[in-house]
Amino acid sequence: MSDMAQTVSFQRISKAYGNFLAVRNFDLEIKPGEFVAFLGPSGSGKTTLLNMAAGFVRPDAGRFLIGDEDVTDLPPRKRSIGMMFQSYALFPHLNVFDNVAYGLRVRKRPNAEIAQRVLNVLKMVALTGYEKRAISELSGGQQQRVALARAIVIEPSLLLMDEPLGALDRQLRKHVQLEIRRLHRELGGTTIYVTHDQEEALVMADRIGVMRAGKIEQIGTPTELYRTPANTFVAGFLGESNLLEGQVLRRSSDVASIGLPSLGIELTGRCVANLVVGDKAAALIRPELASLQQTGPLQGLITEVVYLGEIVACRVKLRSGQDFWCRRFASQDAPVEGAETSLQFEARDVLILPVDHERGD
Amino acid sequence: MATREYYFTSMTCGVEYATRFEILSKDNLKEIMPSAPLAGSRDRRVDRFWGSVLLLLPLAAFLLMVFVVPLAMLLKLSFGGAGGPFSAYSEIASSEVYRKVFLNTFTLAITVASCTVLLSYPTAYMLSQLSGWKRSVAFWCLFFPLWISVLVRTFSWIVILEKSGPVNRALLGMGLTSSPLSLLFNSFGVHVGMVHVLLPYALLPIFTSMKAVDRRLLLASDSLGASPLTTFGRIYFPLTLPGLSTGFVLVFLMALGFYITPAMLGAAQHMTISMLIDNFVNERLAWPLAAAASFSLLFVIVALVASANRLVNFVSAMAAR
Repeated sequence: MSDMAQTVSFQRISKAYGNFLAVRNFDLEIKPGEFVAFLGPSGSGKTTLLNMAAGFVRPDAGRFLIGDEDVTDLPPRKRSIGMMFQSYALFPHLNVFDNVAYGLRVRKRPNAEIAQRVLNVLKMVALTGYEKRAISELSGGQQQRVALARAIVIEPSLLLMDEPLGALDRQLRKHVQLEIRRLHRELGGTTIYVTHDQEEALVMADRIGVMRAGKIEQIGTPTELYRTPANTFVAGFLGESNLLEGQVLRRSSDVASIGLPSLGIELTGRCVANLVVGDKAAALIRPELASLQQTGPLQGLITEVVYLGEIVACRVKLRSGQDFWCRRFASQDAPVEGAETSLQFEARDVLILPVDHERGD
Repeated sequence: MATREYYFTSMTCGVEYATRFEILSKDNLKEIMPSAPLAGSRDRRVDRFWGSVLLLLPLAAFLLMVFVVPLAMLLKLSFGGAGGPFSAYSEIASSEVYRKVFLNTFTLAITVASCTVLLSYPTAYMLSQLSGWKRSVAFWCLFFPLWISVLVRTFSWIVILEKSGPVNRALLGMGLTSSPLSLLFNSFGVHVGMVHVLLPYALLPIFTSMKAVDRRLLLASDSLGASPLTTFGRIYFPLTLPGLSTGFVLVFLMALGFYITPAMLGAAQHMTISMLIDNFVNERLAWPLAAAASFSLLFVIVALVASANRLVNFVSAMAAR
């Protein structure tokens, strides 16, 4: 499959449903073999994008290319895609083998080749021995793997996945995420994955596009998005975040200071955004980068201590009344609820961001 | 959390309480309370049994009186022929004419059921694609004729199909035929009349099975490279086949016992079993013969329905290949 991997590009694609603009002027190029996740709230246009890539929905404007071929007007069956549906959409009247073999039979491959390729891919998804099972006899996780096998056995140029893990329980979901990542690395096909679950995107994707209102807010590697979100929307959507709002007081090339009137202090941090003095801005401090100390720039009262396994989360009520979450390892001394505390952090762990409250959902 | 709470409930109020209200499944219960007495679930099963009996009693009594008892009497009657217990059956089996009537009835039922199903399938598909008020209107149009008596509908067909009726006049006017066609009192007339009356019985089960097909299965088939025709043949048709076969069997069975339409629109030489039975009872007063004919028909029907299921499974399996 790796030699089949294709560049995939969305070129100025738009789609409206009535008055609702689901996708606006969307541009993105996906490199061969890349795993891109579209992450966003419902209504952000991510599923519409996937459906347009699959050919189920025709864009109003723009082009969609797989390799060098413009496939905008081609029906799904002529696109060489593998699609994994949220509901799996397995054929209920066919057994596991026949489900997986479907795409190959339709392509009129010889029987011997079909048998070999189906058994091969069933082995990859650890379903050897399940060939004759009816779909109704499988658990959710097994059905999910059959759906994956059915999509990849045809060696598609582009693999599309529409929240395929939504129906699985949490434990299984974590396991399957790693499974899909392993399979993707083994096979190396270009993949688009749609989800509203940040963890799925962070675990599996090479690049994540955070979507809102039919547009990409920011696209980058998980690390980039987590460390340097473009605005408060992206910061809030990926990972836990503490956002303290204020106004830009000083600005130099990659550092800015903001005043926080409600707390009566000034915070300085990294800033790559296009902010000038006087703009509204927020300081982002990730919970794991703040620590509880005797002294520090922020004072407050510990109101809640929550054990999350290896991590303890503490809610600190700041003087402004705002909650500030911080995390530390459970193996450290346990904080005490009701105690006065201060929050300490490094200036390089503070990121100054443009404020962007309006959420897409 | 919830299970633990109910664990205490069951400790205090008795396990019966929890099981009765389906708070805990049996497996669940065993897991948290390995030695839990399961007597409650047994009582409950007994209660449920008597509850069902009580609910079914009125209909069962009614059926017993108007169906089972007469049927038993009929069975007794069929063995009461003048020439010994099996004389009526042997007379029916040995007569060339009666055999022909049976054959005629079954071929008629099969062709009527086939025509009905063929007409219903595309119609049901169209209906399944409609939604909202359009579907309501379509269904209303479809079922409106059901409110009119079969007799009236059959008479209407005589008016429409007669030699100087609108159909023949239209055909003559268009120059498609030089003399009026005989559309009545033959096999054609019977088919038109019966298909018309029986259409809803095939349409409804087919429609229901079509509504149950997940549209995403068709998208999945498309994404896997199948042409619309392949998707129809390998996915849509096999999934709607149970509805189709239900419709077919329903219409077939009803067609077997049809009386008014074949009697009014058919030819005398195309006698059906129901006409024969009528003849036995009303003309010849041969009750044992009538009873034996009824039971022969019943027996063949039971045998056919039993084998129909197997046939459907077989066809489904073939379509999957």
